[in-house]
Amino acid sequence: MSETVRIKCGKCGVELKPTKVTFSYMGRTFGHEVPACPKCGKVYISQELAEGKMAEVEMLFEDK
Amino acid sequence: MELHESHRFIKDCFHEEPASCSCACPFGLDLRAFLKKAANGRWASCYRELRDTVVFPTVVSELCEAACRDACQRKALGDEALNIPQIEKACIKFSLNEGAASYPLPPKTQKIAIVGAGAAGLSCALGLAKKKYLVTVFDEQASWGGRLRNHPSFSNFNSDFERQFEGLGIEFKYGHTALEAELEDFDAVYIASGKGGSDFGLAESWKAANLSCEKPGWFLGGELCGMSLMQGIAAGRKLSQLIEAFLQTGKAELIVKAACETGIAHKLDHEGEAKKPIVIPENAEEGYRKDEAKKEAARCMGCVCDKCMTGCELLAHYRKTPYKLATDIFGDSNTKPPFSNCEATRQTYSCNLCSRCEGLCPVGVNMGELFGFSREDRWEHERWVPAFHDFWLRELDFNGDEGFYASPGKCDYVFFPGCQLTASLPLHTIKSFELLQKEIKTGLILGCCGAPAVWAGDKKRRDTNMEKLKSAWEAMDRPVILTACATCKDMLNKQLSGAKLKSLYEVLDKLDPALSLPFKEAALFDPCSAGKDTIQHAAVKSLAEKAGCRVEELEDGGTCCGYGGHIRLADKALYDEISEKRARESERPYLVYCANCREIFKSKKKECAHILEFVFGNASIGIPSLEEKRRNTVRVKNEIMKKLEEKEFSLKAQPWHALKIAFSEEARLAMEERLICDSDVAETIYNAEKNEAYFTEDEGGLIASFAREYVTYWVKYKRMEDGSFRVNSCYSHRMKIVGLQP
Repeated sequence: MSETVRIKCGKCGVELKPTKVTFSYMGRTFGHEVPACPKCGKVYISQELAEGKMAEVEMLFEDK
Repeated sequence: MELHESHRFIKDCFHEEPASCSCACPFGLDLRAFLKKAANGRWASCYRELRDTVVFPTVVSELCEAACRDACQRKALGDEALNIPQIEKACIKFSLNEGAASYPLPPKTQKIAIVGAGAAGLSCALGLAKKKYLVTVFDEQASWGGRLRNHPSFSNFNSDFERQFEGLGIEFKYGHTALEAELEDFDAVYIASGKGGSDFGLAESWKAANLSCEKPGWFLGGELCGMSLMQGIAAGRKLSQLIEAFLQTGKAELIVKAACETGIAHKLDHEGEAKKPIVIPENAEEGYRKDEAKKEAARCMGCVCDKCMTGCELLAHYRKTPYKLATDIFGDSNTKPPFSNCEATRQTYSCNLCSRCEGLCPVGVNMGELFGFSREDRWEHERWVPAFHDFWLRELDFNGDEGFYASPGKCDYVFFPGCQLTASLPLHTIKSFELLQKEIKTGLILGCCGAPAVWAGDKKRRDTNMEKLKSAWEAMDRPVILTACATCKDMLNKQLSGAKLKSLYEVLDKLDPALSLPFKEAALFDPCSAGKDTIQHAAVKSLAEKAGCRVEELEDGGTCCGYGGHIRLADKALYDEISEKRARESERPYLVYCANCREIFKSKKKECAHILEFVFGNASIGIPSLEEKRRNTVRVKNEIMKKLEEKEFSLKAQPWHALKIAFSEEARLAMEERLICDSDVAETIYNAEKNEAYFTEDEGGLIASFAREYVTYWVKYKRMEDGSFRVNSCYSHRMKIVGLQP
């Protein structure tokens, strides 16, 4: 969540905040807290998350 | 999917068959397992393996005629057969503290009578008593053992009987002649009264298959029926199972595999096995010491065929037998998430479909065909992983649409370079066509053979693509198709019925063009899809040799460079392992005739050249980026159209095409790795800038995303003073962001 300190929504100009977001993959839906704009709700996925935990979960679901 | 559909691909696989020694054994003892345990000195486990199959280990190790030794495959190498009886004796000696088997089963109420306390009757009595049936053994003699009582080693045999029956509640009625009337009270009766014993008038109706007779629930066996001692013990063990089946179902039938005749060994060549002399015990009377028994057991070759599982990187990685894989794939087709999970998804999509296993297998089992079938099944039932193949399917769609071209008019020959050669070596594609045109009446079809759809399991896309090719080919009056890519040739051969196919290299070899020499010696790397196409192989070799190159044949030719089956996104680590291994198969530079092999080896820093680089030069050309490949396809189409029809072709302009974008090295690497094109990045930036849909970082950094159907791209970039953009990094994920939770 370190990105929330520095990263702002380009449109709204406000800092991102941890927000509960719904994801779906391979027919499964689940929730996770990630940074999003508190005003417009645009969700941000960091490279660290995409290539780390998210990739792990993707693999897990693909194998199921 | 039905079970027979998945298993038809592996029906000839004999991996599951027992060893020939086990087939010869009257008990069917799994000698591979037994000897492996003995070789490792696991005496207790080894003893259990023996006891659970032969019932009375001491009796059997002493008296069995050891037909296993006649069948031992060591003899095929000129060695003496393994001394199995001595290893068995050593196993018994070194595991003496091992007691009788005990199973925590509930007691049963059914009563079984055994007539005869010889080894055959005792074997059956033991099996049933272990399962907690109420067993009564009758014998006219004063104790057990039958004719073994007269054997000099009977005291040892007696100890064996005592050891096995320890703790089991069996009623023994010695000195008692069982009468038919009293036997009627039992739920099942086994008559093993020995040679010349009473058969209660039932011997005539005896059936050897299940030891039954005309009287339901009555069975006969042992020497009474002409069996040997070993056959009698083995039959007693089998009958204990048959009687249980009879008591439960009313039928004395077992579902068992058909008995083997010769076992696995007759199909094995024992390649690589060295001769090993038999181990003679230092003290013949004492028998083997532990170290001697272990050494002798270690002479067992294991007699198992695992050529596919050791020769193919994929099968070696997962270590599943063909039978297990077929079973998993059948299971996957009937999976009902979330209640059950798939077992072989990644493995299915990690196969290069190169048929290497078929060449390795002594009976030609092709696991790729099973995986290909499974991919089609998964696609049909939407159990596929779209992200694994989406990129290449979009490429196929592009090559079947904007990238497609068919020259007008009829012709005798049509050149079909294939989408990969066109995209990777555009100049060589054009020059090949020009040379052909000069010499013979040749047309041209630019497009894709449909391999991405076949590899994804998408039959509909495959057929749609082939229909388009077929229409173009028929409009040209069904000319001979000259292919430059072995995969295209293979695909067209299978799907375009009536088409005559010829390799471009065969024609070029006959045309004797001027040649250049990228390197003086090379190893010829055949693409896996070339299979047994020796004409194509010979033509490529001949061309290179005419150029002055000394061409070496690879020992293990025709293996996949890693590209086949599009496994890269399903299992990147395996893809890298395969491609790096292939790149090291010879010290010499590679001569290839597949554009994909060329790219893969170049990416692994292996010196290599396509045969067309011998014909038209320019061997220093590198690997084009994904974007350059698309542009190359359009460029070839445009050049040819200009020449043949005086028309120009360009892609429909998109607003993001006008953006000027520079990429960092890190971004370039990530794009190639994750198959992100320049135009994907440009579209992402264009949309972000247009809609202010980006995030800002410190120091002017911007982050934007763009979600395609199966993948979301993220781009980190900066605006430059001259209005251009600089991309610092790219990444992607397959998961979809659905929205914020309330």
